[in-house]
Amino acid sequence: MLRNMSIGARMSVLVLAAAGGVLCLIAGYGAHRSRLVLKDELEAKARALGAATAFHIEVVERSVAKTAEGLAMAVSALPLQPAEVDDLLRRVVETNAEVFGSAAAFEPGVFGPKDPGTAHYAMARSGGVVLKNLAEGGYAYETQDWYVLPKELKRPVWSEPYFDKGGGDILMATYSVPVWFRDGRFMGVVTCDVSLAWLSKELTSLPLGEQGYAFLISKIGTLIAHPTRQFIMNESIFSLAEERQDLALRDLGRRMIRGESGFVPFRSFTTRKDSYLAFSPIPSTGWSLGVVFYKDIITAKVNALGRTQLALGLLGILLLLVLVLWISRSITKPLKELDAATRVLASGDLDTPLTIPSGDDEVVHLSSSFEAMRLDLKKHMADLQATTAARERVSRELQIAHNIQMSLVPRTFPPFLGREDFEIFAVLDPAREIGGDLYDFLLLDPFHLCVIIGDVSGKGIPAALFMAVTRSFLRAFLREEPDPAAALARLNEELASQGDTNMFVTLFCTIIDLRTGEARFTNGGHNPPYLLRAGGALESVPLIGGIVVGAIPGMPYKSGAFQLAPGDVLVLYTDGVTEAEDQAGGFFGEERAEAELRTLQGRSAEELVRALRGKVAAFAEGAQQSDDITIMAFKYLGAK
Amino acid sequence: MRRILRSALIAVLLAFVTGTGASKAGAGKPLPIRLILQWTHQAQFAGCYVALEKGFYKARGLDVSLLPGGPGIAPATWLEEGKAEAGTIWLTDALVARDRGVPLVQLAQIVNRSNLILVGWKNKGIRVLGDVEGRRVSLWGAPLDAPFDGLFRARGLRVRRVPQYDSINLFLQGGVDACSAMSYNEANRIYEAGVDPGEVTAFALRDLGFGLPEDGLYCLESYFKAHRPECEALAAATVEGWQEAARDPEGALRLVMRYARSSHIPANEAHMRWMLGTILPSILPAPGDPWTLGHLSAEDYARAADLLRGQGLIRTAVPLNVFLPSEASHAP
Repeated sequence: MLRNMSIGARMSVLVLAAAGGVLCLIAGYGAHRSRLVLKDELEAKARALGAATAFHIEVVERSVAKTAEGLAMAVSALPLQPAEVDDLLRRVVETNAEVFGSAAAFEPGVFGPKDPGTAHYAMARSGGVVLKNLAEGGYAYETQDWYVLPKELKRPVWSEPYFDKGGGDILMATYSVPVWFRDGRFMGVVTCDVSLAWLSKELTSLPLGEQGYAFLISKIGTLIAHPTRQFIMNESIFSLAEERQDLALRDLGRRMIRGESGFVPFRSFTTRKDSYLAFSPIPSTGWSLGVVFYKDIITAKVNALGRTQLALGLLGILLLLVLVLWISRSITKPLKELDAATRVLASGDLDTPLTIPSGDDEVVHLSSSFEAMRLDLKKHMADLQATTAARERVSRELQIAHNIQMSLVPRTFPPFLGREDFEIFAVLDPAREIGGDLYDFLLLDPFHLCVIIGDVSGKGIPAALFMAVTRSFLRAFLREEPDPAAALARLNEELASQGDTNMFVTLFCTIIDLRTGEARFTNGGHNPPYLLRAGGALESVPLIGGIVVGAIPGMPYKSGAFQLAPGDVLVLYTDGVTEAEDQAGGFFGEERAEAELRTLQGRSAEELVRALRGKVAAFAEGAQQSDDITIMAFKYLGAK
Repeated sequence: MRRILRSALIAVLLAFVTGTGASKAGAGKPLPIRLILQWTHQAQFAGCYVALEKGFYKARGLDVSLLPGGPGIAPATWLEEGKAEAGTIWLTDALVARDRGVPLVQLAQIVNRSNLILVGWKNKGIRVLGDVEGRRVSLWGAPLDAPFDGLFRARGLRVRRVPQYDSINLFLQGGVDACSAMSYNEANRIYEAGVDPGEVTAFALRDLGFGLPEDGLYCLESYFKAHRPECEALAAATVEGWQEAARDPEGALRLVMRYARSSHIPANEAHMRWMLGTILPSILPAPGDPWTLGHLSAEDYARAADLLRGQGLIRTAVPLNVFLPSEASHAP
């Protein structure tokens, strides 16, 4: 999909995606960090709050304990009358606001065998301090925890909190101090009761707001203060753990009642919210204070922070979007222009110059390259046009030359109607470009036939014209000179005298007396023809020497002679035959030509020429013909 | 005519089987019965709450009100003083009261299997029973301590006894090395005080040959004689209440919590669930258990009497048919 977008759009999308990703990472990390920082802050706050509250409770409990211990000293040190004990207790309750009630309970029997035991008790009531003897009314004080525990443990004891039935269902705890006679006998117990009603108030007044709550558990885990009133004294942290089958909560409770302090993840008993709990011990009573903070206040803060970050991030991305669009436009504008310009270029218009933007960047380089390419292309096109014109001219010239060449050689066979004393047949297959073969034959008189074959050097129109000139001269000279050598010598003089052309021609020329079969010939540098005798022998025309015609003036040409018997065939050819190449570059060669000719004994002139031409063609097998191929056969049939 | 006769016969039979016939046959006004429980409201009395709330008492023509007990309340005394017509009492308590002249008769033996245990601190070296030798052990007062005393005596163990009253805080604070406990109550209170099971050792007295039946339903002999059908109906309805509690423990638990809350007693559901779950198997016999639901066997009666007599807690025990007048009359 990206591939189908423009560069600008793609760049915008990719940059925005990358920037968005980075922003998200930063925001995520920020949220994580701030969560940790907030958690640390919360921990510090919770711990401080817990410790401070625990300390406050501790101070109250200690002052109550001190009061009770002072009372114990007074009771054990002084022999007191019952009225004095009552008075002492009354003063304790009156002077200590936090002391709700105070007792001096004596072990039954310590004041004589009949002593049923007395428990003096003073308690604060709305109307003032009320005194009573707890032993009256069937209350077995000596079986109560506040009495039994200090007695058996032989040390002061904070009781487990309990509801005071007599005092109107107030949650109380009692600090009991055992008292001993000087002789070590157990005398009894003095106590101070403290109302725990203020604890719940204390805890609810903590500055926790909606963020959490505090609770207090006793030494054995019983909930003494908790926002859920139903829990108080009914549940312990362990019963809640049992109810919820929450072993982690039980472990936490064990840590708390062991007097540890800590800060742990926590799930609220009541709200079931994920929270943190800071707990601190209250050493004097063995209780433990828990301060619960809901995790969602952290989450809320982090979320608020996150929302701000998100808003800022979105704003940033928006700005970035504008910026990226602007930048990408500034980058892609020259590219678009280049694109438009190259489209014009591609349509073939090489004349509109490209505008090259200023600067030295890739687009400028590309534009410059395109402009250079445009100029190169333009030049190339011009060159190409010139070259094509030249080639067409050459081609035309070649065609003209070819036409001239073909018009110069006789092409009507049999050429002389009614002659039965000889056959003559020739083929000339011009090559595409090089070429300059010619052949000719003419009856000088009814009994003398002149046969000519030749090969002009060079090509094209000059060669064709040279050929035409050669033929015209030679025909003229042959009518004047009975000896072909003389005619050739004259021709040489004529052609050589126009020597600035540097052209020449190979020529074989023979005049055959058709009455006798006697033939006189001359050779100007041409391949000597073959004589295929009627009897089957293959001979070459005698070698007489002689150089090419028209090259050097004043050269002599010799005359030679041979005798033709009826049935003999004179086979003339140009080097296009022997130098015909096959696909592999091998030549047809004279030996192959001779071998082929031997097989053609007895054939007519036309059959022989066509057969030999066929062999050469078969040999070349489609290979490019590099030179004109000319074969001519004269078959002497004898005078009739 | 015949059909009417047969219907009447079936009605009589049905009434007899359900045990309601006698009172149904009587006046339409239900008989008020105050039933004093031997402790504060808790799952130990779940069968009574179920019988009352599900109308099992009412169906039998009884207007039962449940009176909570607690520290300092002895049901036998309440019966003697006429503050209640019926009460739940431990077998040993009942035998002692009878010996002291309170003419109690048993209507039903509710808890037939002992739930008494001895719990000791492992960290104070209590791992086998012999470890209590010479150690401080808190025990409830007589006659609840009779099985413990019998056990110690039988094993030749001497312990330093510390009186145990209504709480286990002395044990929890480490004031004693071991204490007496009920498997359905204190055992779990110790657990709910944050003590892990691995930290204490528990010895069940029934495994050591000193298990005795516990809670039973009682009234005075004179009341039984005056209201025998109602007394038998009370026993049958209470037993039915326990059967229903076993059938639907969560329903029973809801009633227990309601009663506990109404009397402002510290109670939590986890503990009450434990209590109900633990006490039910000591009431309703499982296949193979040697007792019959609601009935005291002659052997258990004799064992309890022997144990108490051996410890000098009673001089003598009345014959079983006196102690269990309703059983005696049904016997052939």
